[in-house]
Amino acid sequence: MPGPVLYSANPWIAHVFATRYRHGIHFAWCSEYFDPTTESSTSAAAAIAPSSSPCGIFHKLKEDCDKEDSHSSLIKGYRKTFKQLAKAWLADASIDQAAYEEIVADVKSSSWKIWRPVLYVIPRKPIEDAGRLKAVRREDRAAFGPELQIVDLAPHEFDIITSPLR
Amino acid sequence: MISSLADLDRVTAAGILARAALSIFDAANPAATPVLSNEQALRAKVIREALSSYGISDHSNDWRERLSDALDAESDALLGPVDDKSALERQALKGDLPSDLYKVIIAPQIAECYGRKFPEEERNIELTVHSPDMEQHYGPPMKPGEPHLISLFAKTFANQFPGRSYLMLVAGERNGLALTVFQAWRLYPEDINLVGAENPLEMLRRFAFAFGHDVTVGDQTGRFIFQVDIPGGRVPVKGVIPPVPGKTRREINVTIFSQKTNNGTRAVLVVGIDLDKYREALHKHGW
Repeated sequence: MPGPVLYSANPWIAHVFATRYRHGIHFAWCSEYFDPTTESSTSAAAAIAPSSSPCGIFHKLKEDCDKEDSHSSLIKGYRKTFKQLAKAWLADASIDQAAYEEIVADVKSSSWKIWRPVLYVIPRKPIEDAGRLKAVRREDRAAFGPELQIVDLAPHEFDIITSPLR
Repeated sequence: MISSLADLDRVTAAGILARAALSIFDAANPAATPVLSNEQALRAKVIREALSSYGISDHSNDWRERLSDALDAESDALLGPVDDKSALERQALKGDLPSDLYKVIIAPQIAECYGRKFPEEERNIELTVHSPDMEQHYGPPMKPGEPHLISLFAKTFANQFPGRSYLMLVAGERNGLALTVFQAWRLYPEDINLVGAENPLEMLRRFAFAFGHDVTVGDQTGRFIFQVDIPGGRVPVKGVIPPVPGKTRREINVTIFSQKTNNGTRAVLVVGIDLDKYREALHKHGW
């Protein structure tokens, strides 16, 4: 049975970009289950894809950063997404040219620190009561298991757990 | 060039391409939502044209990946290359640069302080800068009464023997993508109460109170002087060093960051550390 908390695993740089360029408003793809593999096999969690598991994402990102895996598919995907986001934000004028260049330079850089995982821990009830918790459509989910989104998560609405650097 | 976008300015066209690329794998992402009034229809045209131009069949297993790459390539061509170095240097000026991108340069007095054990400290200093547990940055000279381009880093080095665990505290000055380290100290919890120290600056203050002596710079005297402005180019320093029985001289390391201001010189993070006392503490903890 899902608990009162939602979990969202992200690279640290996602939190930085949201804080620095989006007025602190975070986009969070989240799950009711931190580690679906520990849930009952008859629960909805059992149908959640590993690529959508906060625990799975957190540990995979940490491993890829600790070992400086330059072929990490997870980090490659994030790099692409952040570059696409930077272009979209430049086009809608929510960031300027200098900010666009800084985002692109960061994600292209050799920094591993920026990719270390962080976990957003989000009390569910206030978000759900406000109608801001969105169920992701099946065609946009990785598998049959439930996935959720919060598009406008404010800094005071969640706690953040960071992984220690080596 | 996607001909469907030929009538648009390059930034608007790049935005359409980026939102289309985002929609391929994450249609639910609000950043993928069309912005222009006719963008949904335009997006469909752009995608058809990209599939055709790049020879991508939507029956292939990897068509989404290839389409995303094609759209990214088109938007990259429109926006042109980014001057990475300048962008990173701007971030360094603000104190926003990921710290593992700094080239660490260590001032000679630090090597003198640690002597033959400097190579180990050199590694610790680099690790502290590149993988800090805490960091604190003073940006470009915008705020009166604050140092500028100064960064402090702290990192815990745990040991199986608690008495040998310590916190490495590093302070340096940023210059482009380089960080010149002027202070690097080991803080042992047995010697310095760090409870409630919320940032590296406070840790440095407590260290200076434990291991320092009063220093007078300009019109300020203390074991830790955060900042003092001095007219002119020279920073006058006076130290008051109490004698120790049996010792004619104690080695005091006075460390000052000197920064030019419009009116003269600013001395920041001034400490006068008793190196004899510091080294005794290091040896006590198994260094």
